[in-house]
Amino acid sequence: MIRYSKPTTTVNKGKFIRPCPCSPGRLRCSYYTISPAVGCPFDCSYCFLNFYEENRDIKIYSNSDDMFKELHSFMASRKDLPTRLGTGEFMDSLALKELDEINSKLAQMTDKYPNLIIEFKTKSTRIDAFLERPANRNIVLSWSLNPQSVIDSDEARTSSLKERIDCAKKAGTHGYGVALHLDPIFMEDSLLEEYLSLVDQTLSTVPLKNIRWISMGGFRYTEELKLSMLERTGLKRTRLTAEFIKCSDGKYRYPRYQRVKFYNAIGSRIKSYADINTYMCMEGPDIWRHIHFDDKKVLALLHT
Amino acid sequence: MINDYIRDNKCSESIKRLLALLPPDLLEAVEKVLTYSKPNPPTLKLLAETALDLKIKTGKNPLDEKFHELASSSGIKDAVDKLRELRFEKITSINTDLKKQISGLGLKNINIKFDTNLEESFIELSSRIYSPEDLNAVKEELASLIEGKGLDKIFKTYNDGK
Repeated sequence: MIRYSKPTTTVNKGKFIRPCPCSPGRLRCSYYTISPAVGCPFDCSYCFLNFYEENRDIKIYSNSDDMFKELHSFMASRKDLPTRLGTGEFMDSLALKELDEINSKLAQMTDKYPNLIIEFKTKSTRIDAFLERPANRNIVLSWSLNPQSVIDSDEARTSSLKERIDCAKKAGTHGYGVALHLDPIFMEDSLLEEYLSLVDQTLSTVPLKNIRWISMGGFRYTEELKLSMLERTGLKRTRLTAEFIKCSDGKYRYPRYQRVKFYNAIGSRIKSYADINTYMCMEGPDIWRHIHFDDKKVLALLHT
Repeated sequence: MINDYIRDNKCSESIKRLLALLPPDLLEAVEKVLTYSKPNPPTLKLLAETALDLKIKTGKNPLDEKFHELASSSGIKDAVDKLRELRFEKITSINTDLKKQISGLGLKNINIKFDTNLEESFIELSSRIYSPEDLNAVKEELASLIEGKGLDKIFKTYNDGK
């Protein structure tokens, strides 16, 4: 089912750059989002964009000049502080050819601002334009990863795991920074081995020295998202029948012991390859203090 | 009948959406509940979502004759609690362990009831409480973590029984 039509344009009257919203009571990772568009051509069952009716169409902001002006003044305010900025919060960064030119201009900003690390997060294979230009490690191409069985069941119209890993290898070999996002992780016991195997498959393929960071995030949902998932995909969403707990930020998550088990298993496997910055998305100190693969360097990164 | 309930109780949009998702057998069973009980909207919502989750999980209608017997004899709230224990088997088992652990501390009037808003705290507590002092230490820690939400329920009973 194709829900999305051709992208339309609109004017963004608000801000283009915002601190990543994270969630109340969770450790923030000092990440900023920049949004040249909103909406996504993919159809992932769990995506929060699905419950914003207005986001089911892709809208590209026509006033990109305003976005770049805002970016310059934002970077001026950051002075020399390392700044991680990414376009993948409300859209897939690379899926749309209409954004190639804007992406290229955004990537060029790393020449002007050496403290800027800009991330393009995707589930696509559209990196050809990037492979034709000079790379640097502050331009980070990143992929959301899930085992192929999860891609098949929950990430409609996205590229396969192998395609994503192959692209990450090409990007790293070309000299780009690479980031990996294991998010959402479906923390069902039967899937743990698949996640560990995913780590093996990825880290034995992608050049390790080019991996800037890896994030992990357990599947979480709001009541609204659950209703939306059930309405869109019918009553076959057995993933929603695992035992979830309502957390203090109103989101439902797997129980703490299950999250700690998965994070430690996957994080330790990652660390067995190299000392890659690895952190958890939208988790609080109650989880962090049970994590044994963590190191001080990561916390330093998070609080930059 | 369900439409009358929605109208008379001014149900929220999320309850309406949830009820619209119920397959015919569950909807029929919920309507049967309304013939002998008057659940308030939050209870009806818990009933509907728990029943729906169990139906998706097992393929069977959990609102069977046994459920109706319990609901009509002990009340709908107790019946929904029982249903939720089935839905959250692992968590229920942890709660049971926690209750045993706390009762082993020799404190009186400790009463912990199944409450999804407190589950995280319960699980955390279960692995850390071995003495009355531990209970106090955990209280402070948890209060700072989750801004005290709901904790009074646990610790008021603890202090009362001290």
